[in-house]
Amino acid sequence: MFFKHISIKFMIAVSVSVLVLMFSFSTFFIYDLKNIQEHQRDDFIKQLRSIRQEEETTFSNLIKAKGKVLVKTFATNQYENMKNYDYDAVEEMASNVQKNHLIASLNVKDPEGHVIFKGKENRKYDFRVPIEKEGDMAGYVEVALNLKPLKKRALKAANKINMLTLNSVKETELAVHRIIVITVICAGVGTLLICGIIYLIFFLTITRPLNSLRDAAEAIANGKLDSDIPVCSGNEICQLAQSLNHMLNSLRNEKLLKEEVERRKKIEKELVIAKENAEKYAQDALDAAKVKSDFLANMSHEIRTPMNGVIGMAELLSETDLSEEQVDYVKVICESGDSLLGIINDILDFSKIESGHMELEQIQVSLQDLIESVFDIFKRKASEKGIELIHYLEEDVPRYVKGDPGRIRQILVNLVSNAIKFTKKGEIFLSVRKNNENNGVAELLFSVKDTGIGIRHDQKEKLFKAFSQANVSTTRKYGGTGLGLAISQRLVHLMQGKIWFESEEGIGTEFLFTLKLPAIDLPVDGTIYSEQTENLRNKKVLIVDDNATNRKILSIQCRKWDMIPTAFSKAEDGLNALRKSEFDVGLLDMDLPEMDGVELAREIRKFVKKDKLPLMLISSVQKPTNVEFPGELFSFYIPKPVKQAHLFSALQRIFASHAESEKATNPRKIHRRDKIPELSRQYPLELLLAEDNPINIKLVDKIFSKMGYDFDVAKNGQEAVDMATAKNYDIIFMDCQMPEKSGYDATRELREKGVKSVIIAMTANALEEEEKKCRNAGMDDYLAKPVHISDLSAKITQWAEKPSSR
Amino acid sequence: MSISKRTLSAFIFKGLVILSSLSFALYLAADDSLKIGIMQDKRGMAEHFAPLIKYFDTKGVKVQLIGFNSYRNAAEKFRDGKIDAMFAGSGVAGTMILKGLAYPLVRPVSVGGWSTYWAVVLVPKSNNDFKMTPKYWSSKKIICSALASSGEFFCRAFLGKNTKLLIAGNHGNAISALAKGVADIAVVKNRVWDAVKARYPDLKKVAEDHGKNPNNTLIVSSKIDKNLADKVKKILLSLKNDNSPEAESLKKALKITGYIVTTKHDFSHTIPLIKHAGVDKNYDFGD
Ligand SMILES: Nc1ncnc2c1ncn2[C@@H]1O[C@H](COP(=O)(O)OP(=O)(O)O)[C@@H](O)[C@H]1O
Ligand SMILES: [Mg+2]
Repeated sequence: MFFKHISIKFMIAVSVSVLVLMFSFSTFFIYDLKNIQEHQRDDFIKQLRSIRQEEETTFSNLIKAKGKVLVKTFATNQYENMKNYDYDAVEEMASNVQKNHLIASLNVKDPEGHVIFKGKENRKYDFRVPIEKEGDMAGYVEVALNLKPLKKRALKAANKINMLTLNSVKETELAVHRIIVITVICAGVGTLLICGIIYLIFFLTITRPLNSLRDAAEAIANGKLDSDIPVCSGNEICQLAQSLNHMLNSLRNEKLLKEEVERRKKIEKELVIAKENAEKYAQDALDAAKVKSDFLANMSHEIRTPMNGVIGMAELLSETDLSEEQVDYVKVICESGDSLLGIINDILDFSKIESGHMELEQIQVSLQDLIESVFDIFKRKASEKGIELIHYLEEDVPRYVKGDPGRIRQILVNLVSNAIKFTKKGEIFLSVRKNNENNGVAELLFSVKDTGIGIRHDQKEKLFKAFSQANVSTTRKYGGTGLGLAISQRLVHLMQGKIWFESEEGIGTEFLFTLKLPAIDLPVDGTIYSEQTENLRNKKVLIVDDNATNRKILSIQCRKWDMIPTAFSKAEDGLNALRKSEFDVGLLDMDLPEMDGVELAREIRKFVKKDKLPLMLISSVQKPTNVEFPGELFSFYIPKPVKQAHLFSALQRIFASHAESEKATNPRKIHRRDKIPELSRQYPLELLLAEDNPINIKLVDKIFSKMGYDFDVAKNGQEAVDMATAKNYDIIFMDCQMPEKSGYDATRELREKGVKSVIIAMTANALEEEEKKCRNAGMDDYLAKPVHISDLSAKITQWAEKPSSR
Repeated sequence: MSISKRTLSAFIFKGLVILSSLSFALYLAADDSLKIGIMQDKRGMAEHFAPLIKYFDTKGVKVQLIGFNSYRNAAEKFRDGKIDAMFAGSGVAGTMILKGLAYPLVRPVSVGGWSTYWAVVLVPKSNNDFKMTPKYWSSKKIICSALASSGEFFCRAFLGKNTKLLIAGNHGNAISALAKGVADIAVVKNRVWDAVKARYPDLKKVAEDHGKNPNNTLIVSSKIDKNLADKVKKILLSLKNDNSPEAESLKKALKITGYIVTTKHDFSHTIPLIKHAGVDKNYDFGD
């Protein structure tokens, strides 16, 4: 009863004050609304007025125009009268014109301003019209227009507008009244709401705590200690609750102590379980990573093995006698297989890099060889498309660096393959420059510059993203997966470099990347060439090549060897120069405009003999026929892209004495392809192939027989061990995945038994670890499947020439 | 019966031929046609001449109106005999006489009883220092009617033949131009001034010519047939005592009582005046 009494009193007080507040607020609001409405009305009226005024000006302009026409006609007719001083006629006509309702008044004056006709009203005139003919002025007319009817019209319109205004003002007022009523209602409802809320607050802060205090006191009296009395701060009720709590606390402390001991025991148990779980998860994660990388390895193996068969067989097939149609088919098989393999490699590489599995080698790399080998891959394609492949290493670039040749090569291959893909004609220029060198680490700038379709600026961002290409039509037209650049970029980043490009649409693209590579300080080029440059010193070289970059590089190389080059872009100019002065040797490009290299040589031979001026033909044809390379005209044939070593040895042969030249040149390098069948004669070797897959055996068999080799086959690891211990093989080609005994185990066993044969792993597993695993097992080298004829011959040559390992 | 049928018929035929040719000659003689020249661009001239043409018609003279577009053109037409006669002010008439192209025949007598006129000099009433001296005039703007002996010719005779003048189409125009302040002095025909002076209370006459000029004289080409000239003269002189309706309506329309004989003597003031103004045998009306 007592509490209720307080709350009611409180409620009334609050309600009254809220009501007063609401009332004053609504009054203010209504007042404001009224104000706004009046403002709006005034604005409205102002706007209407200006519209009316506009209307009036338009009308008066119209009237003025009409009046002007009338008066002009009048003025033209008065010229003769004015000239003859026939003022009676003028007056008569003027008074006629003045009768027109448009004209209020009209004065006619002579040129000196004498009034000839005075209008009926003495008003300021609106305009003046001269009375003239062919520039001779005979007077003028001053006109005041009659705008009264117009005014009447305007007045009518104004009345109409006023009516409209009044109506709309009334409507607005009505609306305002409506708003006022709504406001009052809202204020009422609001008051009720606010009162309710205040009562609620009152109930929550005072009534309820008091109730709960009462309940708690009763509970303590009944001996229940576990529930605390809710405590707040500030008012008297809260203080009461606090002192009650004090009493309660001392009763409870004892009970708590017991409970805490139990809780701690439980947590300990939970921790043990959590630790066990964490260990299990970690193991799972490790397992998953391993599963993933195993999966990748297996997948690559599973795909590569059959691909090996497909590509290898197709390659062999292509060497047999085939009809033209069949040759085409085989070519397609080879190309498709190669590109499929490329895609697999790319995907594999990419996932490897992404998962942080990529490891970089640190071995000695010859940049010159590296670049030349990259161009070797593309020279056929380039010559088919008629594109020049040119490379140039600047003087100060270290010839040998420490790095991962495979990866650098991969980047270059990607960039050059793109360049070739997107270039129709022109050249691809690969150059290397040294930006700086710090503590023996050189920062090299590689550039692959083409003259192709270029890249639009807005596509710059996305190109380095995986699976992205410049635009959709690229895929359709040029194929590709969009992985090349993504992989290249990541590889460059792995090697602490940057990659970017500059491009102009339709003109070409230049991809650039930097790598920081430790330079190996071997006295390389200098010593190799300097011994023999004596022969070349001051020899005059005639260079004829239409490609400016080629001319420049050939000239630079010749100059490096102390020769004196003179370069021409046209056959005609070269001929003229030869007629005028003597040269010691001529370097002729095959693809010249107008007259090609062979024709030019024929012309030259008309007046210079072969022994007087040896000529070299530079051509992109890989296996020239006699027509393409007539021996009677030329001394040497240099295939494109021109390798420095080729050029050097060819020049050496020409200028050195016979004995020296034989030593200096390396014919294998020039015509390596031709030598392949005779490899067995050059390097008679005992070979063993350990391989379980019959297709692969057949494939290798074909390749070896091409080279002229016989060889033994072991069907599994155990057989391999048995055979290799029984017979002394020079090279053992060892498949890694074999039944019974794997390639690794077999190798280990052989090495333990002291077998010294060269063991080359053959595996479809392209992962880096794989190679490491092979080497760890004691293998000497590593050959990725599918096995290509060229790879195999290169390996054989490499190991056959290495006397130390045998 | 010595005359054969054949001789008779030949005689009759010859007689017929002679008769018909005689009657044709008579017809030609009766058909006197008078070509009167009028200034083409003067309005209302055809109506003005209508009663005169009708009157001549009753007297057996056909009148043909021949237009000319300038007085020089009129002079050429006189010379070529393309115009027989023309009513002209004394200035133009005197000039034609002086050039030997025409001579005067008759001139009308107005209902007021006069047949001559002279020049009057008008200025605004506000002008109190007017002097009839060339020096005074030389600083003023003078307006007068073209080729009039009471206008342009008077002024040129008084001030010199190359004096700059404002040339009005007619005397009335000159007066109204003066009234409007366009000019300082107007020289006009006294008859016109007398008729309109009531309308111009702000103007006053300050001088006048001492000699008289014949008014609106009918001059005839020197090439005109003497008989025709005499016939025309006779007809016009008879008008005064003619009471026929045609005659009455003609007198009423032209506000005249009749015509009187006019000779070179009547131009004894006019001709020296225009000679002073620079008119001679070769004068070409200023065109
Ligand atoms: N030299 C180039 N000229 C023009 N466009 C190029 C060049 N190099 C790369 N691109 C563009 O970049 C895209 C991505 O190249 P890349 O990552 O190697 O993938 P892919 O070669 O498989 O298409 C290409 O599709 C092409 O649109
Ligand atoms: Mg690519």
